[in-house]
Amino acid sequence: MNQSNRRHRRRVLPAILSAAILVVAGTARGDDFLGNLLEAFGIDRPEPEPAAAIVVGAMPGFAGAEDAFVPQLKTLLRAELHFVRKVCSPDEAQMTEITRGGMAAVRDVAKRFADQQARNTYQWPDARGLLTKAVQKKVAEVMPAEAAARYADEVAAREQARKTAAAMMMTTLVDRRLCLTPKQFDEVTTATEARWRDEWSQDFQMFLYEEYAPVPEVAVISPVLTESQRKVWGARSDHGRILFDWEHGLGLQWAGQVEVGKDFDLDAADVSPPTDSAPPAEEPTDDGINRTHFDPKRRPAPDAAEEAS
Amino acid sequence: MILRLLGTVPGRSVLHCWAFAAAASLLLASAGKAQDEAEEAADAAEEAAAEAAFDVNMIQISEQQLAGWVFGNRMELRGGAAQTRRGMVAEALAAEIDLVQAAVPLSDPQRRKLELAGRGDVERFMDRYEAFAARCPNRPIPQDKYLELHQEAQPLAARYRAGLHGDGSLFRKVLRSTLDAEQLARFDALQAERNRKRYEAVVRATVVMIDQKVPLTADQRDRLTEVTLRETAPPDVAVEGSYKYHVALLQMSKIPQERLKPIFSEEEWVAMRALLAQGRVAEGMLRRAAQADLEE
Repeated sequence: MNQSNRRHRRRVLPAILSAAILVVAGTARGDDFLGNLLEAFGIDRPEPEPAAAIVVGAMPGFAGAEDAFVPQLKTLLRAELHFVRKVCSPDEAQMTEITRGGMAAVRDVAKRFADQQARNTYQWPDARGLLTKAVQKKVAEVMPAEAAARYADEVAAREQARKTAAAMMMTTLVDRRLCLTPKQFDEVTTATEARWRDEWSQDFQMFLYEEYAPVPEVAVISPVLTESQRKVWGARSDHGRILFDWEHGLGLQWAGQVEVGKDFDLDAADVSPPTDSAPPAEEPTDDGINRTHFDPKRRPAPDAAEEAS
Repeated sequence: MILRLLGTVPGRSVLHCWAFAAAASLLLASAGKAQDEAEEAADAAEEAAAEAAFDVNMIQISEQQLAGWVFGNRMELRGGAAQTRRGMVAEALAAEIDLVQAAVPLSDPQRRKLELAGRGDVERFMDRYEAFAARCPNRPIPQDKYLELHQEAQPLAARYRAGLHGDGSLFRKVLRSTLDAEQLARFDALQAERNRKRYEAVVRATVVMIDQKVPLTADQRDRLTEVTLRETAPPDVAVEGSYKYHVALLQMSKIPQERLKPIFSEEEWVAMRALLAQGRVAEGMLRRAAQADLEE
């Protein structure tokens, strides 16, 4: 099959080459070579039409791609709104405002997912973190200071709980190889938390795939290991990371369809039109994902794209 | 050169370009024809070979692939030569003996006995692996034979994952007969504490997974974690892989309802009960893991 393709290419190539020589020659001359050519054959050259405006984020074939992500993100938002209601007890008007802010964030996060999908990198944004940040901002705007502080404290406590649990899971992976004493178990957890990377607690299902789960580097835990443990941990291979589809990190598929906050009417709060009027591209944020909408000229960094599974 | 061919008079430059393009096309087309004929003959031979191979559906297994079945993705073991691999597996023994030493100071004879027993486990396991590898033919085999060998590798893989010096090993037997009663009690206490820590990690991670579906306040999270760790124990056999968090759900589902329900609101409790019901899928996994342990 490949050879037949090559043969086909060899037949077509001369024709392409001829055309290319003509076009290159014309371009290189810097004057209206094709115009002159057409003129020589007595053909009127049509006036060029103005170039279509390039709307970043609305590439042909990608328009509306973000809509596919919205239903799952709405489920996340409903859970977070349930949390806001539990922690802050907002009245109806306040809840409506917060819900609107949340839905705007859903649209924004959906666009980021669509952008990443177009880049085909499997580097998904932290949807939960971004939605929480947007809801927290809205809570701070519409709720009394005391309620907003309570919500902020709960969000911080939740993050800390995730970090501690992830660090402990990482330690269990070390323990399986190194037979840690209980004291070492605590020390490795503490050392890991001290050199924390947020991506480690983004997807807890990662720890179910032990060989690909994040583990602390030998330099981080070396001070608490014995000589023989250091030797074993130092000889360990890095298998890279396992890359999942976009839904995996949301954690919604785990243990069946279980939801809270089903009573929130998100469609009524969805003030953004679904696709065409995308908001203007934004600057890179501290989550490391560049939020500029899809641009085919911008490719991901090779190291990010080549993370092995 | 192309540029030099172009004159200042438009009509002349056009003629030069057409002539150059035509000459290039003729040259490429004639050179391609001879190559076409040679490649057509090669194609026919290749297709005939591919068809023959397809008929018998043979698979060639590499030694690295066999090692992958047993040692998982540990590249240092998959890629290593037999002696290197044996040495690397043996190195974990030193960490195991360090652990015993951390619980109870060992005398030199006790340490030597443990080293000997641990090396025995390594040798026995590696002999089993190498005998298995030797049975695998170094030539293409039919698909059913391939599947049969893959099945045969599973008990070895399970043994390796569970640890070569764990329950049922020579190392454990010698440990039990070498330590005196007090030393043994201290070692057992240390092991129980290690199990509890590992279980705590899984429970905390499972609470995070629950929290993602049913967002909990810090107080709810603490109460759920505390009651689970107080009222349940780690299962007797370890379950690895995708059902690890389901095991914690299963254990939570055994807690009397009157201790769990007050932690949640009505709406949350409905969701929580659905999650706890999901934990029951882990029961089968636990049964199979226990059975595999018995067979070992």
